[in-house]
Amino acid sequence: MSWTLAMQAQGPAGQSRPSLPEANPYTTAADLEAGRKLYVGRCGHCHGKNGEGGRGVTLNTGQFKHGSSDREIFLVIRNGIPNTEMPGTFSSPEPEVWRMVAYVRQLGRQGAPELASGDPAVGALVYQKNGCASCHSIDGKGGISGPDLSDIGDKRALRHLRESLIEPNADLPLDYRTVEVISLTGKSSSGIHLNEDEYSIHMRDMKGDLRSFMKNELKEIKLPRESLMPDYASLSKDDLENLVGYLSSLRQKK
Amino acid sequence: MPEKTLRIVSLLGAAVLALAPTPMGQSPSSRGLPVTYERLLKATEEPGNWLTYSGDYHSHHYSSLNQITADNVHRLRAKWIYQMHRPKVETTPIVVDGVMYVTRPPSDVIALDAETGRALWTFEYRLASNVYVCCGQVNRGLAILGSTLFITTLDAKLLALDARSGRVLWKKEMADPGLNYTATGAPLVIKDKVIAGIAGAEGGIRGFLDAYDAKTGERVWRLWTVPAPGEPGSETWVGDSWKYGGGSTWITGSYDPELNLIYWGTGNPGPDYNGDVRPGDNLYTCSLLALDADTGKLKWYFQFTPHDTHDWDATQVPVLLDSTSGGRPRKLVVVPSRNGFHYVLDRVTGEFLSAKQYVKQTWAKEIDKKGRPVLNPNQEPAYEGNDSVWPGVDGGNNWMSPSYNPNTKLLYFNAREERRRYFKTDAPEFRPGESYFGGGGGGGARFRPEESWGRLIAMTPETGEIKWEHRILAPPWAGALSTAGNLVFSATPSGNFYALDARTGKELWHFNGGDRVFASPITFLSRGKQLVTIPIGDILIAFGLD
Repeated sequence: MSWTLAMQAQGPAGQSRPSLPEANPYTTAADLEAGRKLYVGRCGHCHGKNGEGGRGVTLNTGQFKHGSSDREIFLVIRNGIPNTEMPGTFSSPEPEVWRMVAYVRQLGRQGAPELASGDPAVGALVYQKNGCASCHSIDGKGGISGPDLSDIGDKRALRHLRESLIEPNADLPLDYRTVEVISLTGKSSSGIHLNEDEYSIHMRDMKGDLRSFMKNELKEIKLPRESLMPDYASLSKDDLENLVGYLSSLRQKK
Repeated sequence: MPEKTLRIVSLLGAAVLALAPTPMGQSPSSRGLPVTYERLLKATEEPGNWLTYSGDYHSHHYSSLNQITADNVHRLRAKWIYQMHRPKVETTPIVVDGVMYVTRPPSDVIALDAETGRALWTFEYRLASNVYVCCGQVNRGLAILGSTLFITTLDAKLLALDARSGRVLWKKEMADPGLNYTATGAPLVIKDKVIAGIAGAEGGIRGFLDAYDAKTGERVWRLWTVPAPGEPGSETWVGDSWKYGGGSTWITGSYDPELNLIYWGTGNPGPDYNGDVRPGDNLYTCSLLALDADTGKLKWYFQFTPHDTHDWDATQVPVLLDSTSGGRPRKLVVVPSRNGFHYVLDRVTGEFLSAKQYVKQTWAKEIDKKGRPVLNPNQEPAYEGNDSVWPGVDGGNNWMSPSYNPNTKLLYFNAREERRRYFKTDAPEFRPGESYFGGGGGGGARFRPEESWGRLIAMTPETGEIKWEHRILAPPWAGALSTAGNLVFSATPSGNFYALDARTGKELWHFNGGDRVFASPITFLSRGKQLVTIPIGDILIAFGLD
């Protein structure tokens, strides 16, 4: 076999890989317990000890955005999700990853999805009245300064939604950090931080335009670690719960 | 003889001489193969070549080449790229007379023409089994003696290859890969032996350092880095914990030919992070060992981090210096250790001379007069996670190559400022093919970019005093190279390969290669011109003056 053909047959690591099973081969009680321990240590600080979510998405709704089969969950845990804060478990042996899959599935089964007390229809009006669409988009409509909310109900627990409204700075996603740069001539530009290295910094500015700057043309760079989103702590309790109810109802269309 | 006949004869004579076979691969004015032990001893006198992993036995990773200088480095441009198509390239090549020998993950070797980057032969190694790795399928490089190349493989073998063809001359199993033994480091040739280290402390191995006969592959000696019951140091382990005690040896050490001592660092104890099953200092993990090169007997050891629970392997490249300490000449070994302190030891006796903090650290109140850390409270991994420990799992410094420049008398190395969320899980049971962790370190620079960064440090190695430093956006993994052209080369996690003035730290040049750098730059001559190479992402790229 030529070298190229050998590569294709073997895969990038140069060794033959048995193909990944569709169904989890590690589902005994002992596997589940081992999976629980691995989960608590490695995943719990982002996804919550019981999959209730936090910085990471909820895992106890039974809905998994990147695929609900055992194999799909395995791949997400093993490889992470590119361009997000979800890292892969670096080179964990497959049995360990499968055990985590088993536990995550259990979380999905056990966790009764919390039911929001608010009225989504009323919440939709609160959303409109407060101008949320100027920064957030739902199903392609709205602004781009803030995260897209089309399926935020799949991703975030009620507690997290509430907290994001009252105290947006409490858990700022890394891909929505704000940045302000001041040029050597004193001109200021602000926006969402997109990329940076030792020589350049890149943003989507407040008008939504993509901007790039060489650091040697800047006087100052400020990364305030503050959300652009104002807090809505002054919303009435009813408005807040209805809004949370509305956001929680935004889910992937089946 | 008549004049015409004389001319014909002399023409014929010239033709015969021109057609006479020269030793293969050698041009008349350069030295090629074989690379003798004598040449390895004097590697610094052949700056046109790069004959061993760290440049020379003292591991200075320095070149006396000075065609590229602080004044002209701005003219550096890309000359060629060799594409590896592999994730995580950690390799340092060897260059002999215009041929570069480089490893490629998982355990391949390629010979490249150093002038053009074109492959001359490729040896592709088929791993014998599913291998256990903690941190990616990587290989850090090779060694050469005579016309034979030596590499370790991920399935824990030592291979000898013919440098002219890439054919396997012999193959030796170092340990059973089914028991989670693996090998990733470049071997070190000393006299007629090949010294090779092992990896897998995250897989519950019992670590060792081996020496093999370069010709036959027969093992000449083995030093177990974790003692069995009854052996010296075994009192620092309890019960059966020594069987899975770690102490891997995955980074190439150094050699002092006059003292005939090998200096080699050892890795973390197993299980990682959870030390409950292994109370005691856990010798000889997280230590620097000095061994007799002929017998492998341990002459002295120094343990940087007793009873480690933070994964602070002492697998740093030990840099040997002949310098002064306390006002008198002294043979030193210096190590900016993963635990955040820079250590200076007497390399004859192992005597501790000094330790100085070089990154933010919270775990030690101080290092006492004997070199032992005095611990601060609340710095252990916790079931719920302990967020307040600096440095992080990857330490203040790690395996990447430092460089010592005899002109500036400075040690250059990359430091990482980062903390991690150290967590503990129940002690694992050893199972072949599965990891043997008792916890881990979550979070880190990826999640806290505003409080994590890197520094290329220029330090007076005898004292730990930092002369200058160069700030980097994120904690780096690249090694450093310094040269007689007054330059220091290194690279950042964003893929920027850069050159600084070695005297002042002023930045002089950079090139954005666009992806992470896990390896070290080297420099050599190709057709009389100086080139610098470094792996960036999955390519190997060469630079030279325009």
